[in-house]
Amino acid sequence: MPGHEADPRGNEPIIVPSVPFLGFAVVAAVVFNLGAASWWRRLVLLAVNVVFLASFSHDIAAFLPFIGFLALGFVAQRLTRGGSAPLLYLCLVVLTLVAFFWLKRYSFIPSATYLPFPYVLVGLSYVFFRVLHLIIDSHQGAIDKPVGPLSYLNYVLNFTSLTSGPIQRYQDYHRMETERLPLDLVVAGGALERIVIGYFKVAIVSMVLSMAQHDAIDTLGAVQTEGDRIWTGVRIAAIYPIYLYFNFSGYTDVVIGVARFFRIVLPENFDRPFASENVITFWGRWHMTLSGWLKTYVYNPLMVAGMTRVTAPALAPYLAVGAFFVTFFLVGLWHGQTSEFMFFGLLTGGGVAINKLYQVVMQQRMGRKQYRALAANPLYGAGCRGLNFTWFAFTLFWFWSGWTQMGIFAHTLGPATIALVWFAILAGSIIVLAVMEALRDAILKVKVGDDAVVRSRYVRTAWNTALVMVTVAVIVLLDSPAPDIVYKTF
Amino acid sequence: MFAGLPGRDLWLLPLISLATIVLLLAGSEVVTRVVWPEQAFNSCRMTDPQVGYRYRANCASTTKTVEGPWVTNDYNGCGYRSVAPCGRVPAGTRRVALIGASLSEGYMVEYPNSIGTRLGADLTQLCGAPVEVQNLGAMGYSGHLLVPRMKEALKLRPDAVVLVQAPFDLEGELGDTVPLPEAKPAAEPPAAAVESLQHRVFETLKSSRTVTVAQHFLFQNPSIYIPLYLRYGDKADFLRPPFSPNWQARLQTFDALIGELADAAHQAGVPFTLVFVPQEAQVALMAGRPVPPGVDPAALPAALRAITARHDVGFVDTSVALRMQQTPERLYYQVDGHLSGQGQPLAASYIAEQLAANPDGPFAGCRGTKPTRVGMNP
Repeated sequence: MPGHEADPRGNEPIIVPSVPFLGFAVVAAVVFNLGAASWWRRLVLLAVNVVFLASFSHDIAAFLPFIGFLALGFVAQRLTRGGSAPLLYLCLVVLTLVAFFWLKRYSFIPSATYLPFPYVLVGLSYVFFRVLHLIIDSHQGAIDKPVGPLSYLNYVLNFTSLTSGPIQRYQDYHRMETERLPLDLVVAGGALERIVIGYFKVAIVSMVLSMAQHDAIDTLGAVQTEGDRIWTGVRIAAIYPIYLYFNFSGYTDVVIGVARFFRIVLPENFDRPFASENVITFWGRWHMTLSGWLKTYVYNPLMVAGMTRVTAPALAPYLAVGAFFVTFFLVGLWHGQTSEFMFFGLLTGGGVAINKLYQVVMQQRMGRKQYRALAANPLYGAGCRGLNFTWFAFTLFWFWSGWTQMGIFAHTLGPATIALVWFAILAGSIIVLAVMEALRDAILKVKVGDDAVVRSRYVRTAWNTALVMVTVAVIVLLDSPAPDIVYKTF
Repeated sequence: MFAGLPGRDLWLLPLISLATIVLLLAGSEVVTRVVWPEQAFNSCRMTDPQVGYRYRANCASTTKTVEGPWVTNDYNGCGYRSVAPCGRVPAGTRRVALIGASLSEGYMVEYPNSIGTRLGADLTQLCGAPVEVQNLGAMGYSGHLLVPRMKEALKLRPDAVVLVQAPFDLEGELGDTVPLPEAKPAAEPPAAAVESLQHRVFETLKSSRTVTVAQHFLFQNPSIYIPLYLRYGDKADFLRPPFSPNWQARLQTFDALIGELADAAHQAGVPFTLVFVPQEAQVALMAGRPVPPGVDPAALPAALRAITARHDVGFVDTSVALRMQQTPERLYYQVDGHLSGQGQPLAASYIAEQLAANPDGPFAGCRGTKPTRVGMNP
């Protein structure tokens, strides 16, 4: 087990999102906004971040590796600032990478070197992305002023985004530190709306979907007709991507809303990903801050390096295919150290690369204009949307399941049924996603003045009140524990 | 502060929110009434000058509690919930007269699973000879109403009389607190009127179907239900020895009642047995849930056992069997509090075993196949 996220003596961490987390955030936001001075807000935010982190353990020693990693990042970005000491910069980047893999206990690190005591790892993956971005941008001169310790700690440890992101750029964070963003009734209302919607998504929708998928898994072994077996297979495979979306995007909604009360605008992580018509645009709309980070620090440098070495212009589009594969293979690999995640990376990288290759070949054969016309065809778009969803659901098997369980599924269903299951998912997702898009367009066309009716604050007030009532009723009635966020494990 | 927000929105938005809440509550009441219907009125009921009401002879009715299934109630020629005729006992058949209130009646439980039906079936199985049960139980037949009911039971010439009692049956044993129907209340002072209005609002909300359904799901969680129940005060004070003055008074009244019933039974030469069925939270506490300080779930059955011993009455404590279940609280209708169709057969099975185990009782020597207790742990 790579470190601990809770105190072995029974300390209760503040789980994001949970009712105690919201209570903690309310008190912290009130104190934060008591003073308008920048120093007051930065000090209060630091105190809040430290208190939040401290809830994960009462043992100081458990924080030492985390503190060491933060110190390494701070020193590295200061020493190599503005392009100085290129060799030292390279060494420190490598050292940061090694420290991260070592603390996360990746399997290629010799286990004899692991620290022999439990330590706090909460949000280390997300801290790692922020630290590495600071070191690189600082070295490349993309950060104007030296990063002070207070800004550094508040940036990397921001309690709203510590456990599962989103991954914010330092430049964006620092601008908000100095600009004093307004927090009026309209902004507060908008932030509350994000929290309400997010909590509903996480606590109700994703809980129901998770129960439905587990129910399907439980019924798999029972004697069923062929039709029922296909339906069970469809539920097992197709529910998980929807569950994951509501779980992670709900969490993101909550933390974006909470951060706004601290006058911080966190970046968006999702933009209707299942409306994407291909795998490349999907990854530009799903976990956007992670794919954006990898695009900046992996894809772009790979392309630049490739372009400088490959002089033939005809080969340039194929460089993108390779760069996409590497970038999205890393997306998969980042999620975990097991062979399943490696395979997930291969499928994800492979899917994006094949998609890019398809675009290149089609444009070469049809011509750019013709291909654009084809892509704009609604029927072609609906088919692509369904294919994208089906592919994502397929790759996610290596994300949520294991080889043993997948073996059981395969053995229980058999190859013919499995083929029918995926055909059903493809056909179903083409129809359902097309209907949803059409419905969305129709609803947004109902307008009062220039605004869609559903986007008016009156409709939103009623809708959010209803969501609050349903959420509170379900939480109270089921006495359900704080919702679990899939991405907090990574 | 209010930049970009029209002044009217400061009252309009809260009003919309409030209207949404009211609409949702009304909507949920309609939906819950459709999905969880209730038919509490029993069309076979008719007034009776002696015991308030009784069921019509050879009548059938359909009832349903919010939490339970639709139940058909068939009454025999004497208005008892039994298929066996209430006339002369057939040769070779033994007869049990079951008296008591709703639990004895098998309130809101299908006839095949009701306590009386299952008791007859289990005793028949144990004795290897027919045993019929004449079920004289009916909702509200507790306290002094049991005296005429016992007389009626004894006229049936039973081999045994069994009285089933739960803690909520004993709650009404104070007797003298019931106001006379003729007494008109004095005009209420203004403060009392406000309190009365609050009470009415509270009672209206409490009796709403939404609240009942919500409570049904809420109370399925013992960690919520048990602390809530223990906060009931007098209602739950039977769990806190030494008993409160109210509960001491109830037990004294019950002691006298059992004495009177026992005398009648002894004069007729019929063995009389008191059966205790625990309350839902009580059995959950007995089954190993953490028991708060000052709470003793076994105190009431111990007191009842002492009462029966004084009057030479048999005593069966079904909590011995019910607490052995994995989740005994699930054997009850969560809000209503009665044993459900899952719980009544278990209680009946244990009563049958205990009656057969009594070497001086009418079922001594019944050593047949032990009735199967569905879901019973080893």
